[in-house]
Amino acid sequence: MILEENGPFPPFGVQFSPLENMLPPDQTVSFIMDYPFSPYGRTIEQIYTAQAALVPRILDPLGNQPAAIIFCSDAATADKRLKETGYRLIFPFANGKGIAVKS
Amino acid sequence: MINLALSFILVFMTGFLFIHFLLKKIFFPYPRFLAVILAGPAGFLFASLLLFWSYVLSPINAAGIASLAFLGSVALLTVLYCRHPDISLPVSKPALWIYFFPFANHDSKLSWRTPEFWRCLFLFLFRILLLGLFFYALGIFLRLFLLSMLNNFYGGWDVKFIWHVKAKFFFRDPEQWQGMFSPVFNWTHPEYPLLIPAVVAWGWHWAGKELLIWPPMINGIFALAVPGLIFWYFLSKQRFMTAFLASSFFLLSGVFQFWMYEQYTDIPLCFFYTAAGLLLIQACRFRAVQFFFITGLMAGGALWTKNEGFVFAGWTTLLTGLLIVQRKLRSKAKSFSLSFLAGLSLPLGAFLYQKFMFTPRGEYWGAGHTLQDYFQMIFLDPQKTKIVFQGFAAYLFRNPDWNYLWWFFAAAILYRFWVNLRRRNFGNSQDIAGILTLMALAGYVTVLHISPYEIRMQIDTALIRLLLHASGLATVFAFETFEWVESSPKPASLKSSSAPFQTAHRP
Repeated sequence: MILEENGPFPPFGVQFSPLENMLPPDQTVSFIMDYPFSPYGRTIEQIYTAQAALVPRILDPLGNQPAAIIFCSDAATADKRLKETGYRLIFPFANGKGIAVKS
Repeated sequence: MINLALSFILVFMTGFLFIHFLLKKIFFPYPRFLAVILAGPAGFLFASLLLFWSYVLSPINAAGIASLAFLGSVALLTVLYCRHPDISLPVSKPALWIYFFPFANHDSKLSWRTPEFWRCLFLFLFRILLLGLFFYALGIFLRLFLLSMLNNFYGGWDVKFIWHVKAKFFFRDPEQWQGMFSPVFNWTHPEYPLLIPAVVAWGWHWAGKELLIWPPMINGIFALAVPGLIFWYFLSKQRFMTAFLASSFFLLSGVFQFWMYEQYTDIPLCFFYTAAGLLLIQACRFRAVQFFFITGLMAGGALWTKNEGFVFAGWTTLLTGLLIVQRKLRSKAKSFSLSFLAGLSLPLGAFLYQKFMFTPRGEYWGAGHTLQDYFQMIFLDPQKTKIVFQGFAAYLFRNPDWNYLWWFFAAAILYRFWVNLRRRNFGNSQDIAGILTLMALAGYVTVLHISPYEIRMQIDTALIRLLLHASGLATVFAFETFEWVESSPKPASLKSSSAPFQTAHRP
């Protein structure tokens, strides 16, 4: 079983796999989390996992891109972060997650 | 899966044929054993370089170009290897099995009443114990290796979030492979060298999918090669007991075991440091250009694995130059130097191309510092210097996972210094491993001073791994300094080519 691609295990970063079909492979997108990006931040593992799962797309933690993945822990936090970063949610998923564009 | 197995066999074959072909005409003990140890890592090094240059030439066809070039190399090496017969002349090969049966040295039956009988019995039991320790250490290694494949298949933080991300850029969409150098996500260190990512992608290309089993296999081969090299080094000097003791000691190091399980690239780097150091010793011992070439290649492997390897390659080049001058090898100085540089230039070319063309602005390389900045950072920040040395003291001497390796090493350095001072004779081949270890540590003291990261965080997260790089060489130096050379009985007959304690023939 370990000789299969993922064996019996879920693919790495499986939570981000729905996004693969929505983002072109050559696109750089922002990745917005509960807190602004800091190399020593609490939620840093989320962006690392997302980047590893979504290669060859490039994730920009600083919110400089026209499109963004919103990956917050709840809807209220997502709304707060959307306002702070100037994005507008266009494809909302559950629990503060979705895809947004610069408003 | 068959494709992956085939790719692995080809990688191993290439490494073996290349190393053994080079060493065919040098008379030294156990050349095939050395070629087997170096085969995997050398094959991986070639595969990664071929894949990198293929991506530079034509990203879309890179996998095909690299595979074809590799198959061509294997065919060429096979032809060359078969056309030049193996010259295994008067090198006395000490037979390992005789070591474990000291009674075999006696022609006639030994009476149990003689002291020689009891001496042989004691040696027999002691050596069986030694063998038991070795297999115990090897068993622990194999258990951890299997666990890393079955339980920790994604590897540690750096592995899954840095090294394998780069491998995915190679594999998933070759047209977008240069995305790995993007400064946008600089937390994945775009400027890191590409040996491991390229080798991982190489296997995935052959398998046609991102197989979980491949990266731990690469890691395991590098990890096993380090104690293998230590074992071969002492074996080649006919120090059987030290070979078993030193390699077992290294295999039982908690630091080595932990980072092997985590699959960090510090294990391959430890291999290249150890290989470059030990082969440099052999290069000086046998005065053969081939050894200088492989030493350069291994030093180049270090810089193609991690940025730290660049500093080490610099130290190795400096030490090689000094040794050529100091050991009166001037008559062949040019060919020795050129051989070393030729070996080094293969990975160095790829390293420099990556730095200049893809990542000209890195954390260290191209950071925009002037010489004055470096002088200030290294010499005019006493607070930082104090923290760095406190960090070294803590991680070298207060970490129980080393099994007191660095205490042992420090004692060996002091002892060798005292002995050399009394004899007024510095720069013996026995000192090379110690000098390179000290150079590597001094390099890391400097690097920590110019690190852009918060120094305490840097020490907490990286220093133990930096020390691991030089630990193979430190182990060799410490054991060689304090080894107990067994007094061997005179063999009854030296007619047999397998007499255990003959010295190796030097050309």
